[in-house]
Amino acid sequence: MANLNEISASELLGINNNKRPERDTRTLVLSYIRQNPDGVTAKMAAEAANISERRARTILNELCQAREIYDRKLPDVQSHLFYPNGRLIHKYLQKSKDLGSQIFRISFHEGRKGPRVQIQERKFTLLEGEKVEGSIFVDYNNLESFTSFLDEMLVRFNQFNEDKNGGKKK
Amino acid sequence: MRRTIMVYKIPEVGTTQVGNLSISDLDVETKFSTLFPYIKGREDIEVILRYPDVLRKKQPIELCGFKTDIILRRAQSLEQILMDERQIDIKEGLYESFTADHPILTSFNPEVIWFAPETGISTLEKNMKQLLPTSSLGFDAKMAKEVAKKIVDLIVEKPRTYNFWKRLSQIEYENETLGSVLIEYCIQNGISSKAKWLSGITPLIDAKTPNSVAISHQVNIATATLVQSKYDFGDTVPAYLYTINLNSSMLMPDKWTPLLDDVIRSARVALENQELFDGVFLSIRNLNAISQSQGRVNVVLKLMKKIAEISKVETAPSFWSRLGLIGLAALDLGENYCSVPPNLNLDDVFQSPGGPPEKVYHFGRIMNLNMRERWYANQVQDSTKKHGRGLPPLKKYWDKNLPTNEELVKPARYRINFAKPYNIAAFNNLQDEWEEYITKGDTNPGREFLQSCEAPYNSWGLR
Repeated sequence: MANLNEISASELLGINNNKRPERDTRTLVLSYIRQNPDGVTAKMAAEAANISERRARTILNELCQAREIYDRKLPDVQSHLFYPNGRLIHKYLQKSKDLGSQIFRISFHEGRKGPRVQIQERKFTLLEGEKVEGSIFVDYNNLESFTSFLDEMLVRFNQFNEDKNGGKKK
Repeated sequence: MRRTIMVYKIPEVGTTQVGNLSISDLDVETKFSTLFPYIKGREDIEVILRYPDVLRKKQPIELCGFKTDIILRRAQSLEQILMDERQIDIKEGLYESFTADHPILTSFNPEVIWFAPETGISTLEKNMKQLLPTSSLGFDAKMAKEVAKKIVDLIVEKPRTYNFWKRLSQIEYENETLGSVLIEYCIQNGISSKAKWLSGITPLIDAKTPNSVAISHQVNIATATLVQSKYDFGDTVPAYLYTINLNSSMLMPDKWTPLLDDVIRSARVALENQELFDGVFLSIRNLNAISQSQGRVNVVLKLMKKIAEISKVETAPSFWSRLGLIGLAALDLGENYCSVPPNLNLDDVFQSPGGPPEKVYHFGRIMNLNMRERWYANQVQDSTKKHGRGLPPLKKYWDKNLPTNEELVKPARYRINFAKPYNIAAFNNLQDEWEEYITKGDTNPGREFLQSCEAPYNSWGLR
């Protein structure tokens, strides 16, 4: 048994030379998938993270729900393959904003052809914390056109409302 | 990366520090230095959600981390009750909108692991079963139940020793050390309760085991590392506070021990590290016993000064948990945030079941600011009957100074609808006055107030 002065932060977190260098299993699985953009199976992820296949599947499902990865069932492969979402390199300039009961998180990602903006809709529940509801990616080049498109739709909606109310603004 | 920014108001008054604190990515914008309420369970959360006006604007709230599921469930059920009672529509969620106005600090009482009290252990086990499936460990409900059982079994194996902390790194569940499961639980707890600050589940530092300072330091580093890894990953995580839980044995009368030097040194080293810690969090067990000895009080006051110095040099806030009105002395000495339980009780949160059978104790105590003493319900009742006066009316935050007849026969109603909101409003009135004095250039208004209070507060006053 260890002496008290031998207790270290890395031991508490289970980091040692024989095991995985990265403590956070979810981080480890995710980084493994990002390193293998052509897809990995649950078994491969389990082996890479030194965890059971059942546990790997749980984590992979959770990562799918968080839109960090996605899965495909290919006709000639028996098991599901998991891929990194958007094959992103890294995200930066991330900021969240609560707009009433809706939470939006916007971040920039370095894509293969240039920066992209990810817009996530998130939801907070008391016992589950914050979860991703859904997200979209917009290429940086299209961002201005995208916001103009939103403005255009807003104008159209207001016009529609005015027409509906007999020309009176509501 | 430290996310906290503190802007000090100038001119500085004595050792006191006042100003504004912000954490931009968590939308925290609040004042320091201040007293703030400590919420230990369903009754306390009901008080502040029913009567949010007893609070100051943007005032932080400290939650008992081992009871977050109980607290959050009560908040959820209260939402419908308040909508029905008040005929209002709460669209955004009662607790959610509350936390947008009041930043939450989630903390963990050290006595649960130190003494393994039955109530504390069962609360921890339930809370862990509830929260672990939502953590990034990927445990389902069955696995959460199994691992929670392993952890509580380990706690009860040898209480009042460091056996639990020694074995945390040796026992694994599904390839995770129990240490890492405990830390994940701690962090998930902060995330679920929408906390802006998080203290750690760290060992109680005890004089009989000098190495306890080092163990506590390592647990802090492990927790902070994991918080940082989640932050880097893009998760919304609370700012982590370097946590120091001291047993009263650490504080000998008029004796500054080498072990206290170690505590101060480790706090300094931690806060010098801009990467991992956003402030320092302290708790001291058994303050009532310490208050009986002026020599021990002197040592705590010295400790407060030293922590305040480090906090100021590193521009990282200091939080003191459950100080009660002793917090006024701490504010004088330069501490930034001091929590006060709404029942003004400084004993451990988790104690052996039972309590005094006399009904008068079930009503709790209430602060009479004029008399500078805590009154029992029968004193409030006598004052109401004999003089029609009740308690002194408060200037702000709460206008009820007489309990209703119904409240006087039902302890829970008395506590929820009268005593606890009154106490919170009372210490917020004191806080306002403290700020006024400080603005005028006074140096020790808190300790001046305490010197004429009843025990245990008077020993913290000016001598």
